[in-house]
Amino acid sequence: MERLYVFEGWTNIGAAAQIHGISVNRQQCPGLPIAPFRYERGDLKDIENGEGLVLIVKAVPEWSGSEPEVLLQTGEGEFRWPWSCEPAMHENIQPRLRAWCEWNPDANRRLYQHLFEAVASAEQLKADVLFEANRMLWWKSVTRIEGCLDSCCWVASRVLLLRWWSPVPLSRIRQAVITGNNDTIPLSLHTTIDIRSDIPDPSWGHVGIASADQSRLAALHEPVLLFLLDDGSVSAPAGNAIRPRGTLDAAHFRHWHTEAKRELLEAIFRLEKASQDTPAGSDMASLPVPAESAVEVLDEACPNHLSRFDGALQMVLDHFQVVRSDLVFLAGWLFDPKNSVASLALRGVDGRSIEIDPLLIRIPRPDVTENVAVPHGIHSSERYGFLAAVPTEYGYWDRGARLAARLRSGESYEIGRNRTTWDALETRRALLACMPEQPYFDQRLMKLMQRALSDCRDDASRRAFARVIEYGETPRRPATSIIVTLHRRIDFLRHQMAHFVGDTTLAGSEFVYVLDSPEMEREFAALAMQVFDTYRVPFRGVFLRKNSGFGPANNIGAGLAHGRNLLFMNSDVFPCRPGWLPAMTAAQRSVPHVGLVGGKLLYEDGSLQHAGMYFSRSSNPDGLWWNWHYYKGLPSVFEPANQARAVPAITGALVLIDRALFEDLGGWDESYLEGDFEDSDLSIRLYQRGLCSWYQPSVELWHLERQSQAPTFENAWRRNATYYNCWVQTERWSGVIEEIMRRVHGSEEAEHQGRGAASTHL
Amino acid sequence: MMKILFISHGHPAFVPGGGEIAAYELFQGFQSAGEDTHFLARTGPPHHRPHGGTPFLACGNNSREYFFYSRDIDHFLQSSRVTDWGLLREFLESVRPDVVHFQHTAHLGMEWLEICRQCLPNAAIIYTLHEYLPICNHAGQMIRTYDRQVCEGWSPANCHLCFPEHTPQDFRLRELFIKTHFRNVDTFVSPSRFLMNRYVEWGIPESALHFIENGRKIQPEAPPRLLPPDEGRANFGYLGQLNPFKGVLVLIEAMRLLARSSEGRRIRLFIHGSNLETQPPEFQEQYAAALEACEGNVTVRPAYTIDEMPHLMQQIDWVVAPSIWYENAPLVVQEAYMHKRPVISSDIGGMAEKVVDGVTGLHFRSGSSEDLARVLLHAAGSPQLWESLRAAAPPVFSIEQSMTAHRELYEQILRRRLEGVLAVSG
Repeated sequence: MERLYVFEGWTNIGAAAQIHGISVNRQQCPGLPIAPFRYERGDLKDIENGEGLVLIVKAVPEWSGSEPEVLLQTGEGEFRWPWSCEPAMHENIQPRLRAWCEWNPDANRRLYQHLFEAVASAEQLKADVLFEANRMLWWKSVTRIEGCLDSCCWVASRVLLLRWWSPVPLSRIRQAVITGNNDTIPLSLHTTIDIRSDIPDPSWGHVGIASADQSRLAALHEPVLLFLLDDGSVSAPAGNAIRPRGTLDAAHFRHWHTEAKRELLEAIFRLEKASQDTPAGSDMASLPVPAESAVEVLDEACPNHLSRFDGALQMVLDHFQVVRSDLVFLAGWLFDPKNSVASLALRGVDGRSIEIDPLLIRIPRPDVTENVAVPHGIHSSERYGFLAAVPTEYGYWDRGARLAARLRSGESYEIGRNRTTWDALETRRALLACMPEQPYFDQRLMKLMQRALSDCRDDASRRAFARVIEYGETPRRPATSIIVTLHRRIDFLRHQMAHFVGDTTLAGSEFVYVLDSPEMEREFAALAMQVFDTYRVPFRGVFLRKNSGFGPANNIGAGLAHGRNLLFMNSDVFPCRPGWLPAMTAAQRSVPHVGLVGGKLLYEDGSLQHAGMYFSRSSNPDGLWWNWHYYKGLPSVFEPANQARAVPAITGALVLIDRALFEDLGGWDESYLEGDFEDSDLSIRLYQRGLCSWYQPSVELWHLERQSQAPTFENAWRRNATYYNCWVQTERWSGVIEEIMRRVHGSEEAEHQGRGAASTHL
Repeated sequence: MMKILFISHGHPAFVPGGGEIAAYELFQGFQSAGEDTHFLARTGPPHHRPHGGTPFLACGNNSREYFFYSRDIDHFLQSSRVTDWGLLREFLESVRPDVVHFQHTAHLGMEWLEICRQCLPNAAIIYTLHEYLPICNHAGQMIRTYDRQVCEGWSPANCHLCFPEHTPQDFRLRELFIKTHFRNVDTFVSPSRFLMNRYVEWGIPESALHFIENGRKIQPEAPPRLLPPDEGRANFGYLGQLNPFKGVLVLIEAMRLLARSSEGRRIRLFIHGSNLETQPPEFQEQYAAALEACEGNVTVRPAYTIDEMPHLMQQIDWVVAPSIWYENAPLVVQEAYMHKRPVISSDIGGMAEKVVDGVTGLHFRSGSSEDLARVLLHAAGSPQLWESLRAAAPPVFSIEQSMTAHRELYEQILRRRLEGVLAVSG
């Protein structure tokens, strides 16, 4: 395709000197049409005869790849043009045009006109296919090229945002259109004045939004924006920015007044809503990415912090989250010692408002007490924080919300949050992070968390499964399926396989590896091939669409396993010696009424990590039943840890269960979050059926758990998840757990008193 | 007739290290004895570039020598990054050796043991231990990184102290990973009983370890130095690599101390060092600075080849082996014995094992320049002691003896394996 080249720079050859032609790379280009455009430049005032010069020429194929050197031929000889010899092509001419405009805005206008003419003449010579026929037609009808279209992008699925400047007053525009080779799209523009310092007249800037059809616009070739004016003429902003793939140029909007941004944002949402023909709520999550970026850029439109009366009224909305289409969650704090706030309301960007005072649960916020209340001289145990789960009708809550405080004086203030996520995992973590630090306990609060957290669960195990890849030929009717979930540390696959290959008693077992880190899919696929090629132990790799956590990932693994028995194993568990699986299955066969079989797990230094678990009630007011590990940290030879026996619960890090039984129980309970308490829950459910959890100390494996990190703000959610899970377990099983522990104590006592062997059946 | 495949971490033509040379000499010995013997050496940059689609490279016209290109292994785990073992399997299955003798898996990866066992279920797999790399991540030196003292013993917690970037769990994983691959080895060969004991402590069963001294090419003994009338036996020699673990800095410091006394100034030290240029820059600087500061009689000589040994031994009365690491079976001790030079060595590890204090040499406290200076002074002033230590220098184990010992070991293992197979099938 032939191209138009534009050379721009300056000369001092003088206006009198005629330019006869140019040569490029020392070759004369006699036939080249030249259209020299000369203009005054402020920066050349001190140079005699200095003037700006623009040459528009048709590209010659030989130039391609080389940097043409331009020689101007005048009557007085040849001049080498040292400046800006790099050719400007039509792709990059726009920023250059803008640069020229800074030197001489008036000349700029003339230059656009000149360019337009040059293009027209190029068309006559069939020299240029830059502009398609339809577009040419419009261009020919263009009376003036004025201003510049700076950017154009999608800010919502059907809303286009245009930013341009032009001397044409808005009142004179009868119709705006985007046109291309085969279609013309009329736009009903909602326009705002965009005061700018980088244009000839600060008031010439505009931002407009219009609803448009993405596919229709995408079908246009080389689209341009034109304004049909009231006198019948056509004005076009220069620039070729109708390429709506770009993202919002955030830097530009940073200068905007927050109110203006807010208005624009709300207008975008209104427009988006109005142009939506699909039923509301069906595809809220499927908005294109630019919409998110619009929200992000315009986030400052409403600050999330309010401070009035020298800080005597302060309010912050820390978190706002749509949990479900009809439930939103919010967290924040209010410092109002003078009791000046009459009521709080939640307001959506579409204007609807909900009174939330009765829904608020107040929680302690030591950080607010320390950093806000105490500096104000107030020492009280007041609970400044609040959480609320607010039932809503469907609305534009996913675009953020405003928390409106109406004061007794009649004044009203708003703070807001625009960001929210639809990712269930992220939502859960965000919600958990909002919980107050223990030992603070409030049953009403826990119920609220339960409501919010169970609603944002997304049936992970049904939706997360993606695909299975078989490495080697895995057995079809294995006695045991070994199910391992890999999270981040996929290298554990290599280690486990290096051990399994040397254990002949594992031959015939099925290995199912569930990758619960979808972002590592490629890495894992490569590793899996390599590991299989080295050790030749067949296994099945299960790929998940999203990170799902212990319960769901293991349920998916179990669903794809073929064994009569299921053995769940953590990825950081490694055998001390071969033969551990037969020892477990032997216990399963020989012990009466056995439900689960677990083994002895050791830390890397040989101390006990697991020798069975039991329940112990917290002395805190919450009265939660926590899971404890017997003899944790003691040496592995510690005598009481070496007795095979029934225990209240078995860790999920290594546990064997009959497949039919597992399925009958409904698998791992997925209402626990982030991999915790599913194992004790399973043990309790088995107990209810009269089956025991059996600890077999002859089964010895390493459990190379990493030391838990000190709690920080970032992992507050994890600590709170544990607390929440424990609360769920207690809520659900308090009575049964008490019974289990009564029996344990009873049998221990019996043992101490030598009244015969303790019952193995708890 | 046995078919033997030696697998070495390098070829002595490119990497003339002790382990590589020992492996190659054994290979040559068996080959000239008429055994069907093969030598596969790892190679890498800068010596070779790989061909496309294969890790193998021919080794000149030698029909029984091969290069295997391998780089970038996981040095912590000693784990290979090979993604397709097909060509190695094909090689092993076509050569079908009865004995696979690994000189090392460094730069190759532990997985080699697994692949060999899979392809050659009945072969004898032998593994010679050269240092403590399977036990110790510090280049197998068992020297603590933080204070340069010898390591008291492996444990995840101790190793974590040396390498804080790896957790204790990582070190347990490393140990388990290496050990699970070692289960494919029939017998480990060690030229040092001290080293064997370290591996027993680490968990390798004693029954799987076999002692065979390093076999050496025996050279004609260099005559003792001709003494000018008023001179004693005061010429000491340091022979070998210059690296932070060999203790040369301790020795130079001892010389600096000795230079302060009139008697001590009679002592002369000859350093025949090699490989300084490949050492860390800090060490090179330390070495240069130590030589600079030392006012004693220290003469630095260029590196030597093994054939020059008798010549350079002629100006030396004693050989000093001052390593601060345990060593294994240091070759320099054998070289000293070969030429009947008493050895002054550190009192730890393989050196203490090979040098009997007061019988074939003298010990000094490892790492102590003061003690070394004392021993040097004592040695230089005791001509009778020199004579008696010299007379007690033990004979050196020859390559021929080493071959015989290895052959016996191979046959013993093959017999055992065969009996095992028969026992299972019977």
